[in-house]
Amino acid sequence: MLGRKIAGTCLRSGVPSVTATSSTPVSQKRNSHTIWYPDAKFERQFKTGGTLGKLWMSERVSDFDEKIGLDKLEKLAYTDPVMSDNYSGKQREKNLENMILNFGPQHPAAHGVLRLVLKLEGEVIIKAIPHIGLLHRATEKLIEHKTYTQALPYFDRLDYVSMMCNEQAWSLAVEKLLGIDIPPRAKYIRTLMGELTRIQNHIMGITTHALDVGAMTPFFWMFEEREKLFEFSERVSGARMHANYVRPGGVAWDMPIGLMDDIYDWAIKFPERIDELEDMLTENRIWKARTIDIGLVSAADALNWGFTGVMVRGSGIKQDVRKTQPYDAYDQVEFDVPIGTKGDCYDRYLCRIEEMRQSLNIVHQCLNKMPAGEIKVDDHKVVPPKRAEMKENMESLIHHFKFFTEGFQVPPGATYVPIEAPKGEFGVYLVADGTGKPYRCFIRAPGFAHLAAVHDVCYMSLIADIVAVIGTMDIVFGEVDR
Amino acid sequence: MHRVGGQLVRGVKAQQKRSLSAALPPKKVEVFIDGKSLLVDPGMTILQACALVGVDIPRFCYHDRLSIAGNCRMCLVEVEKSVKPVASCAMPVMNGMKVKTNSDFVRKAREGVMEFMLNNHPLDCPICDQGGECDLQDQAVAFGSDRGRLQSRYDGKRALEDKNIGPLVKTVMTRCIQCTRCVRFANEVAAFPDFGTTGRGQDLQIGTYVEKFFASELSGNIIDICPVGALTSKQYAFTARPWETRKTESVDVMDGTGSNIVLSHRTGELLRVIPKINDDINEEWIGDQSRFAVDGLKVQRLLTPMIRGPDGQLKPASWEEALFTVAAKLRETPAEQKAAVAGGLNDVESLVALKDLFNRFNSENVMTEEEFPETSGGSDLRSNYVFNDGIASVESADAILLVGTNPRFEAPTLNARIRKSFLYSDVQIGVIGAETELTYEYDYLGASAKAIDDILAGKGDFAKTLNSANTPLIIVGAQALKGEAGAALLGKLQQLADKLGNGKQVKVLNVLQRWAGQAGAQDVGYKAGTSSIRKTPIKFLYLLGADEGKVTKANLDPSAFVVYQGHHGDAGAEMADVILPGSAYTEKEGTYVNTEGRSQRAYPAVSPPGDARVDWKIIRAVSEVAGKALPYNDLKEIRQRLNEIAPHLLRYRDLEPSPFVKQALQLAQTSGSIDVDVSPALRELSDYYQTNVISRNSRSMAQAKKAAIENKSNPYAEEPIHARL
Repeated sequence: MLGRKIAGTCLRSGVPSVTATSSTPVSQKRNSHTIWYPDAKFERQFKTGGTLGKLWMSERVSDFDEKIGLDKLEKLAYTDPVMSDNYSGKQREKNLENMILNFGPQHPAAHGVLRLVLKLEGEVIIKAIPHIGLLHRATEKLIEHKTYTQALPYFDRLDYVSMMCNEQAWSLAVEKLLGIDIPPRAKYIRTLMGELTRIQNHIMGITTHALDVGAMTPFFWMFEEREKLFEFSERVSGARMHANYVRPGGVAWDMPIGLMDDIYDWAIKFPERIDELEDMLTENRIWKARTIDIGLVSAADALNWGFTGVMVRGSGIKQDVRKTQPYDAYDQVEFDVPIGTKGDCYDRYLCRIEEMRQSLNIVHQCLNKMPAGEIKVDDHKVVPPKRAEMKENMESLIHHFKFFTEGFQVPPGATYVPIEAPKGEFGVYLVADGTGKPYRCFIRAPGFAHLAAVHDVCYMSLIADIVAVIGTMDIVFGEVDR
Repeated sequence: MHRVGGQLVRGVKAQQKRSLSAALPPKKVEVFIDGKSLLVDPGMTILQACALVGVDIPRFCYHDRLSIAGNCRMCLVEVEKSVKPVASCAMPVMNGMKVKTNSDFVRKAREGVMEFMLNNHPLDCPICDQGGECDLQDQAVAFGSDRGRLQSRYDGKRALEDKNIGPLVKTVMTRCIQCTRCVRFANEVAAFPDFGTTGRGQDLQIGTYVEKFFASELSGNIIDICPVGALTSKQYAFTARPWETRKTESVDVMDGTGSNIVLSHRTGELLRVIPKINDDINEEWIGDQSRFAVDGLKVQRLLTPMIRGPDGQLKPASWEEALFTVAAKLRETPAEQKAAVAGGLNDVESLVALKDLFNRFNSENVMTEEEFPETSGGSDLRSNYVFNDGIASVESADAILLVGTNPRFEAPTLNARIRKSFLYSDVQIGVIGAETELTYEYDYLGASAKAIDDILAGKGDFAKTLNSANTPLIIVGAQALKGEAGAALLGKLQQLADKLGNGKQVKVLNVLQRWAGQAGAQDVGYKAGTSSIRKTPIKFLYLLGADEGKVTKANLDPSAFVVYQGHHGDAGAEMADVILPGSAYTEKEGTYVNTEGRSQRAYPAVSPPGDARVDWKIIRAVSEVAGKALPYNDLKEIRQRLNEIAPHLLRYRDLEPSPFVKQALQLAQTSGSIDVDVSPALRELSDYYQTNVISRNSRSMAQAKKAAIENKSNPYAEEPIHARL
């Protein structure tokens, strides 16, 4: 048995000798533990810089070989250092370069189409350069050529894991320029859907993070829940993901009957799911090993780099747009903003877990306080008339026609409206020139600022940690590239 | 039946004008528009005064180029010390008037008017062609309420039967808001008095009372002026929405005036033509041929080069084969046996390229199909063949003599100006030629050009009118100027023009060209007329869009080789041995010189179909294959060549004056008999529709022609405006 012979020669001390005997279980016959690793003797052949390299001699030396002195030559070759062919008496200086590693854009842990160019010193990252633009769709420019209504679906496709929150930012910006206030029910629906979106986003963020560092189970367990949230989205808007539901002036339609009951049923069960998630991760020693003290961000750095959301709260700064500049119904609901202490990946994980619980809290409040009434402003100059009215009434028909072809005119002005998206501060800077289309739209995506600091966060960390950091930053390329 | 009678309006307006012109320059009055002080001429309406300060008052019935009706009430404004809102389109300004255009009072008034307007409007937007470019929609959104109170289920809406007014204009009368723009247009501009209103209030209807063809060469313009979808284009029905189309501003080639047009196209397909405002040329009207004949660009097109085989059949060929065949013949034919004939729709670039090509082969034998005298200075002096005073001069003329032309069908927009001049001033018009139905009253002076002798001699009433006129105008149709008699006629007219224009600002003599490419061809040195072909046997003939059949095989040497380059398979292609498919005016960038001598640039809306190519490039290719490559490779370079020949060709939009009128008179041949019948070829409406190769292939033009012929036997047809005898 070949394997036994090699094993016998290459065993490392301290490792129990496992020799293949007749009583060896089948599972051990794979000899995986007996794989030969390069030893000192083997390495020595490559220590010389010669181009000639190792002379390979036959081991069996015949009389004839001895007589012509081949064995002596062989001995000489093994013992004397081999110089390169063009050796001129002095040691050469050799340029040694650090390894450049392409991480992505097809890497499964790169969260979409991130291409990270890593400069490594051994296994240590000394430079991490994110290359972006592979998902650039010129959204901002396209929006300049779309009416305010037509621009909305682009927002679903920015951060495509927190669709309705993006829509909220756009709608709020347009509403601010129009100077309109939406009905309370619309505000509560937006808040409710926004928080469901936040939970849905955090499920994605946490579980894929866990998946990237090796924990597969939470992903499967929690995606079951995410699927239910998509169903809610589908019931309210007709689309699982790209809802196009939160519109300037309110929301597209009222919630269907029974939806709130079902959300309630789901919401009372979901804490248990969070507990299960925590059971899997929070005290898991691999998870802790991979996240504690990894991706440390100091409070000062977080502020300087323009971090928002969990990335800044994890470092101990209590910053939340929902508290500082409440929009929609956030001033009418109670919730806490969890913050971390250390600013590492583990703290941010804990923050996200707690944020899910707080979101559930808000969901319950929205369900309980949901006011009756209109779901969009009662002005058909800025929101489309109902189809039933359109078929009865000339004014409604004209306004419907014009709304969906030319759109509505927004008075000239500029505004910046931020919201607390699950990933951080998502803002829309909008310049209107009085026509039916925006003059300029700039989108402030939280992920962009986070990714920009990836080098600073990952400097001198191990290559495996970059995966954890990207996971904790919750990068989604839809919004980074725009 | 309510009508705006031509004569009635004329009398009043003419008197007004006289009394105004007699007085001193009017004193300006001060008005306040939204608190802003403004000095305006008295007699101006509030709406016009508002426009001066950039305040746009909503309106439906008011139209800049039509009389004021004041019946839609959309233009209501608040005038201080007036209890009721005031219709600004009909109210003249008064000194110290304080106008508010955006107060709550005004907004409420507009909203109310709009609600009434929409009460009886059908829910048609999704199926209405006007949707997206509808004044009613725009103003309902801008000024109306966002919801109506009408319970249409219980109250119902008014509905009317659609009226058939011919194959060009589609009517959906239920959509009508009774602004009467079309009625006023028909009466004032088109001189089609059959259009009117019946009934009052809710029951008011627009129509011809008995079913009748809208017998006017300008009928398509009611589509543009209709603020709603009541009058739409039959050709364009259900084709496209305005936001889907791209628009290319271009120049029309259907007549010699070079009307400015906008071509709507989508995904490489031409959809429609609408006029573009140019106050110097077409105001905002275009003739029906310009508007509707474009469907002729999609049929009978030459899509691929063709070579006539030994069996006498034209067979598709490759460009290479065709070019080499043409080049070989071009090279081997002696210079004096070569000739080129250009049709009337060519751009100056291709004309120059063709002439340069022939010049390279030592031939100067390039000519146009349209004739023009070579004597009397001929084409050498530009003042001989252009509309010297400019089209707009018609409005300031006080006597117009039309010789051998029917401007109504040769240049409908020019004719609309004469009509305008006729209505709003006391211009006297005399006609020598056919006694046709024009849109104004005129003194008929006979069919023979001999009448000019009488005028020169000062005989007759009209001669006196003309002699005493401050700004007399002679418009002579290019068609009358042909042959020996044409040369004599031109000489006589120059004499007359000199006599009439002595010491006056006008040049008097104006030639109305029939073809869009004619003035340009003469500008770059084409001989006008094909008579020289009949003198020497021609063995190589190059036809550039020449389809009027002026040259036939019988005129050529029996072994003649004919090349036809053009866009339609018509008379020219039929006699050709090789066909080189060219492009129509919507498919190439080109320069056109209109009858005034005004150079204008046309832009391509779509690309040439099939293997067809831009015309001047084909000629450039022929020249290269024939071994004498022309020295221009792109549009910029050929335009430089244009600049070498005649710099005015690149001074787009400008009217280049032609100063050598005196010299032309010295060269004028004043002897010879002018006793010829100068009746124009286009005498009645049915003649108008199909005058060139594009409109001859147009389905809608054929339908219109048919309708016009049938209309002649309509017992209810209106008595035409006859000549004043």
